[in-house]
Amino acid sequence: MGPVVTRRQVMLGVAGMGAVAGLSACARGGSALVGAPAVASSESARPTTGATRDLALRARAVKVDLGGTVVSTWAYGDTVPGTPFRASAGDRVRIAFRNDLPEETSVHWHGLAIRNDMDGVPGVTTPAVAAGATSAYDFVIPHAGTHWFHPHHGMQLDRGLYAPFIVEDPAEPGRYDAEWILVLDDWTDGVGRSPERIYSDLADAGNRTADGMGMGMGGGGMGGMDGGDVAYPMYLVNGRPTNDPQTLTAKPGARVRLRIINAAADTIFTVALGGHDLTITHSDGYAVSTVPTSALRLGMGERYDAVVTLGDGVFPFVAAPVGKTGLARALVRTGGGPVPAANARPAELGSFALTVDMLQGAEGTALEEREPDTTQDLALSGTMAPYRWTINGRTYDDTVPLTIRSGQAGRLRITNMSMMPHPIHLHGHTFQLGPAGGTGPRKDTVLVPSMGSVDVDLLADNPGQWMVHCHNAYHAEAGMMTRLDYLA
Amino acid sequence: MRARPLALAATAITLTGLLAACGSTSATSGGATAPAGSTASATSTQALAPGSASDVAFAQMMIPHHQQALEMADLAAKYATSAEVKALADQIRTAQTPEIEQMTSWLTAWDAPTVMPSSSGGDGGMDGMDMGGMGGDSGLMSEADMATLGNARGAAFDRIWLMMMIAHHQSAITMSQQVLTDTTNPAVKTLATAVTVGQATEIATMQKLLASG
Repeated sequence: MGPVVTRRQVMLGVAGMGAVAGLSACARGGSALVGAPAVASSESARPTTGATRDLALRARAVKVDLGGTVVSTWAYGDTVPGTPFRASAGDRVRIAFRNDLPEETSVHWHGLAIRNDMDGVPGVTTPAVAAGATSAYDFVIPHAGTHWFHPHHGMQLDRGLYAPFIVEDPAEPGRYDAEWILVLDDWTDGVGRSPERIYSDLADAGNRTADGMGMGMGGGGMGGMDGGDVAYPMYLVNGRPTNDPQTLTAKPGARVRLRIINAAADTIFTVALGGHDLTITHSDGYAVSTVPTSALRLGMGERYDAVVTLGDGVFPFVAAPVGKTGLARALVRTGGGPVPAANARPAELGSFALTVDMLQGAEGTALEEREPDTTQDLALSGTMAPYRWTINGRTYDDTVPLTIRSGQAGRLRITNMSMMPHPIHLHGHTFQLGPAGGTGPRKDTVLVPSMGSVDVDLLADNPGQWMVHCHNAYHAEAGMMTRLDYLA
Repeated sequence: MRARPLALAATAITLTGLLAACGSTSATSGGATAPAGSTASATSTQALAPGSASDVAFAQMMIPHHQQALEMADLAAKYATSAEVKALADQIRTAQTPEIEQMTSWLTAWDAPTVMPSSSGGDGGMDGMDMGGMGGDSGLMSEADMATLGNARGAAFDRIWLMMMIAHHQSAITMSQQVLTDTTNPAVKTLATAVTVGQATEIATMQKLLASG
């Protein structure tokens, strides 16, 4: 996802910030952007536990075994996904990061509303880390939840560079016997074309079609899907394809907390656990009204926690890519019985899938009730030919950022004018669906249905310049990003 | 751009976005002024104002949408296990039946067909964006989803019915909000506002029922 990053902006780096802002209408009007002192003072005001957690993190080229096919890819550490990192809300985290990739990168802490200069967006918040260089990330974690980290640079997210970031709530009672993190991904690296090649093929097909009055279905025959633009050769749960599933072994009757993360670049998934209902408890780290469901749908970047009481036997946990062919899965084993076939689709998968609009926030999660001081629109649109995705009619290199001032209540009215759903992610904040103080859940990534609209409210309590973008990595790279800039 | 009613609205939204991005404090909601909960009943005694293209499209899309809600309400009458779901289904039938009649009478008065000439048409080959969508721009539940509901029984029926009706209401609200951005017809305004407010209230009720299920 990364995309922040047109080549030009990478070259400008942090020095480019002023220049970009200087071109925007708002800055022309004389309003300066909020600066480093505000970021530092906001950080020092965060409540802390006093504990410090250190992590040595290394991005590197690795070989991974995908069900018998060994591929070269890029990962955090030795595995895909990277080892989950755990801390508690209020902890200070110090990460010594080393970039052993052959090109520059960055690390973005998805879902953590941390200090702006540690947000890992080159050209906006944090300088890129050059190939072979090291960098230190140092921040206090404000709240608990199932989060993750990934690069915010070009198409790197669509390789193996992702890992869970689990923030525990010291006050939350552990009402479960075991925990299972399930990271979903769409996979091409080393099996199909490289992500960069897929992107350039989409762009080329779009240009050819736009020039030639064709059908407009770009992508080399891969367009036309309601879930995304790219058909992948593999779909993975915890880095494993269907013929080599990870297995959770537990006792019948065990109560398991699932932490489900959609780390895919271009794929919405519907998930289900054969023979079970999932009781949804959290989304994007915040508690929701607990709702049982047979199937659950997650857009890219979204996380859901669910609790399930296990039956006796062998059960597939499946993730079906929406609008695409294929399947990802893992297994639960609590007793005897044969392993279901690799392509087995439990009946639960065919049920109507829960999405966030069916949930309410749990008690105590709402923002303070307040009328917005500023209301701003994000109109989502795009075309396959040319391959161009926009917010308010503009690609990122031409964007007019949204603006807000510290302490203001803001409302974003997100309208999807395209025929496919887009997961819209805001950095540095967890907004509330619907009005502040209402019943909507807190989220940082919301799947906006095709031709649908979503209003979200936020409190401007974390000064800086924050990306707002589609979490489809290809759409983001094609321009579907803007910023929310704090004015001084 | 993509579908009929949005093309106009989209332009307005983009302009608003540009202005708002410059830090101006924009007003809250748009033209919705009719009192909450009022149904659009009294309008038949007054002369109906002419319908714009988007008024016509709104009625043509909302009629089948409402009809599908009635179909779902009928299933609830048969198969729902909880009294709350049955009561809600009754409430939906009571609200939406007269609205269908009213929208049908508009189309008759406007001399427009009650069904869209081509229910999926309009997009042409302009941009190749018709990707099926999740529900697409009709906002209707798919046949597969309706079959899932029709085959469900017991507590699972109630749950699926609530989830589907929430999604169904969401798309009705989206269509209503779209027409409210550009309609000048008082009857359309009143009905679209009633749908927006009434169905949002029902969504909150259904979310609560799901959470207690």
